[in-house]
Amino acid sequence: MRRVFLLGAAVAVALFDVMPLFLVLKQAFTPERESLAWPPAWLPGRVTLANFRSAAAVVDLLPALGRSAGVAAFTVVVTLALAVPAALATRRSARADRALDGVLVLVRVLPSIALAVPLAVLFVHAGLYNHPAGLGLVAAHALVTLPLGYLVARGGIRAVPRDVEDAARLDGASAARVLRHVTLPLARPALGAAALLVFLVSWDEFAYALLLQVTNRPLPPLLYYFTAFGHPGLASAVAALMLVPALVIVLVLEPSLRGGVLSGSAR
Amino acid sequence: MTRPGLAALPLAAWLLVFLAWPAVYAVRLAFTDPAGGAFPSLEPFRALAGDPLFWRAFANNALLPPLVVALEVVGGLALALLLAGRLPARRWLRTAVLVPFALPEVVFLAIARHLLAPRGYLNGVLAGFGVEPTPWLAPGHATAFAAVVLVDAWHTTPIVFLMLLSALAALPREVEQAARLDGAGDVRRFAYVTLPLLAPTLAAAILLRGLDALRIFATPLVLTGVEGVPVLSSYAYHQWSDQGSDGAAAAAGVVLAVLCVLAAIPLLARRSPA
Amino acid sequence: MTAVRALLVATLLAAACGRSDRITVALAVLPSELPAYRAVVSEWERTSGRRVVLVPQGYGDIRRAIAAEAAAGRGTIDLVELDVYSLATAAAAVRPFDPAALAGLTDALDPAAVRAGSIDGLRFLPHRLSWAALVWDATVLDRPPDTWSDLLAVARAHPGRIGFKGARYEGLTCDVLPFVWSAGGRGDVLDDAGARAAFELFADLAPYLHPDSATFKEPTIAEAMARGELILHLNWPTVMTTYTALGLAPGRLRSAPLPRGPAGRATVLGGAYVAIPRNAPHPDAALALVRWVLGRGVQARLARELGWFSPRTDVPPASDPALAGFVAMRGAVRPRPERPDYAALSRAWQDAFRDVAFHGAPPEAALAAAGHGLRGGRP
Repeated sequence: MRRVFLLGAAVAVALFDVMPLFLVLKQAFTPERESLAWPPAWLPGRVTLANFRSAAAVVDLLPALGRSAGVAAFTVVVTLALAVPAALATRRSARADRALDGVLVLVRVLPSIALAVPLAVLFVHAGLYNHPAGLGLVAAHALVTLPLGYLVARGGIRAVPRDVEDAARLDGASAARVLRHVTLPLARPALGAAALLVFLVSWDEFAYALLLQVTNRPLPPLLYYFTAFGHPGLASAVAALMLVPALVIVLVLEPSLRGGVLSGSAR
Repeated sequence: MTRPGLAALPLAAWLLVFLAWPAVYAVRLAFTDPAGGAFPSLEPFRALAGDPLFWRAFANNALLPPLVVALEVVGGLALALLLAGRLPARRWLRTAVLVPFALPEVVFLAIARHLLAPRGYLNGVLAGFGVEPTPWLAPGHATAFAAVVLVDAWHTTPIVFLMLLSALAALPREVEQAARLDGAGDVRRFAYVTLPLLAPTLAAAILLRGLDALRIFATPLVLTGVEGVPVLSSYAYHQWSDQGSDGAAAAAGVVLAVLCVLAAIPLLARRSPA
Repeated sequence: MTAVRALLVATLLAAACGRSDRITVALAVLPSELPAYRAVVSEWERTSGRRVVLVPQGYGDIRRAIAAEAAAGRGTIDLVELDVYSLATAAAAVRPFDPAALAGLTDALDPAAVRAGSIDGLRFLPHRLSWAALVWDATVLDRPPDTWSDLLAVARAHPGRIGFKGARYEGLTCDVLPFVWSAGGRGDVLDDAGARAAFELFADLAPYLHPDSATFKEPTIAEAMARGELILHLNWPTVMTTYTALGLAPGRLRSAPLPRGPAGRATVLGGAYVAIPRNAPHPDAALALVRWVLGRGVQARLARELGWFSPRTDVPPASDPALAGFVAMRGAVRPRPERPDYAALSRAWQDAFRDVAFHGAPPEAALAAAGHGLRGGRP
């Protein structure tokens, strides 16, 4: 009896939590008129792609999509390029480890808006403000994703057993070869997870995208524009585009998330 | 010692350019008189002190985090306990519960706004029961504040849920078994066995979520606009974007940064050698 | 890993593609206005062979973007729209129009509007004009108040349902100035008879104002009106477009001229201007687009489809019944005072109104206090 009650409660919560996803998709694929009707319908009436067409016709939707993807991809490269060597460095030095941990906590703790204003000034001088490909945004996103990326990468690299590395060394391999052929391949699952997480965070990121890109916008500020002016159909179309990579990544990462990939992180 | 340490140099350089320099510049901006450039000057802070919207933002920024974190932790704990057991289809249930967090924040907030709009889904359901549509998100109304708290907690509860789920899974089975054999009822087992073992994870969750909640920005901005439920981040954004006052924006940012760093002191203190 | 590498290469290529045949226009249009404007611009695309990218953005963000591009020495935006209030601050970031290149176009435009855009040469051309009028609820009132005493009577009969955009921002000045002008005040001093008369009216209205008036801005006051909490307020023509889309106008919510004061009717000029940023990559194409958009046919089409008020004197406003009140006020439109310290003047009006309306200060004292701050203290 109690199990049935518990199961019922769990299902109710699950349905409630899935409801936003359902509504976004419903509003994206039904005419905007339906979303503005009163009382609002929960079930789709007519299915159509009109919202996507309208959104693409009025704003530069596809370039925004490309910009979001490009910025996220670049951010992955930059963050891993910075984090992996640092993780390797702090493996041997406890002092560097503590220092870096402390600094990265600060990165995590400082609010975006406090840094965005001076960053905007810096970017203006460097020609990175409102950059067409969003390169300035890459720099800001790398900052945002470094703590998480570093911690996950560090966890993965630390998990590589020393005896395997030592065995390779004894076999005569140089430090570089050990790195390339032993350490990194063994850390690949964690590094893959780190890459996906960084991509996700950059893809979803809203604050810096709003503050540092004015006319060359990625998807999140575009969605905000449609939402702020009350266009549920168009807003949901943009939202549906944003959803696809986000959900895919979370589904792929979900086992690792539960398995404690994050347990070594500050989450 | 130095050779491996060099590998951390790119990261350090990056942080110097994109973290240290902007932070210093922000502080400099915050203490520069906008009308004349005199430094140091308290003029930006005086402008903040004279603005009622700033004080509203400050008050909200102090009130929101405890409320949001309390809801998240209680909700996350309840969910973890509910879904930790051997329920049928538990993989699906656990994935479904992640959706509010898996959705990009702006997407989730956009839907929340449509749910709570005057002619939105919630009012539609209530109208079915004969209740008048209420402007939940109208600026200046207490319901707007409550809405921001509830929506933000809804979005972030899955994080706490995940943390506690892992912690529950890591609980030593023997302790649970022993408590069970003792004949302790469910509630007593929970209070005297499970909860103390979860305490470190709960403490970490409260600390980290509290820090994140202090920096809240998108939720009140998208749901109610800057003037609806102002917080320090959106206030700084408003000063920068609408008013064009770099100094006031930097000053508000500095106030928020100080709050965040103060709140992070326990976190920094906890960092023991790994 | 290879996937990442491929993505990198693709994005690098995409970024490198100069896309030199596109011109970028940043303007503050609503999502509901975008399709019509887009269609109008598409015609120019066909004849000119260039692609136009329309970027809807807020005026504050546009201002910042062109300032940034001016400082950086190179830009990506070819044409911007700015609100009339930010022209002075943005002047340095945009390039002046060549009078020869505009051959004859300026003659067809409203001279007062053109004058407002002539800051250090002609840098801004009026894109769409707007001015304030009264928005009233026809289901509650038989007719809109025609004089100040009518207004007071309506307020007394419906306490708490009169709204002003009373937040401390430029919109409040736009609510105040029409009353000052229609009492014979100059608008750029706070101690003349007209100002005093207007503020006496505000003091009389104060007990009957909607409680949220102290925080109302255009969007929130429009929402309150749509919900039925207000029976009248002042707003711009775009609000009627929104009401029409929601089915509220012109049946329930209508526009009317502002009430007549001792010296007649007056309303404040608003609107948006276009300019070419200093570092625009395609200034010639931008100029061609501007000439085309300000042409008679296009202006007539925008007026018809979007209800915009054209800056051209030979394009009458559309005969949209919802906008009737605005159209009737066309002859009474006045620009805000052109003064270098306009920001301080505006602040003074806002402070004086808020003192009288929300803190019960006597009008003379409030005007004197605000005016004193204007003359003596720091701007």
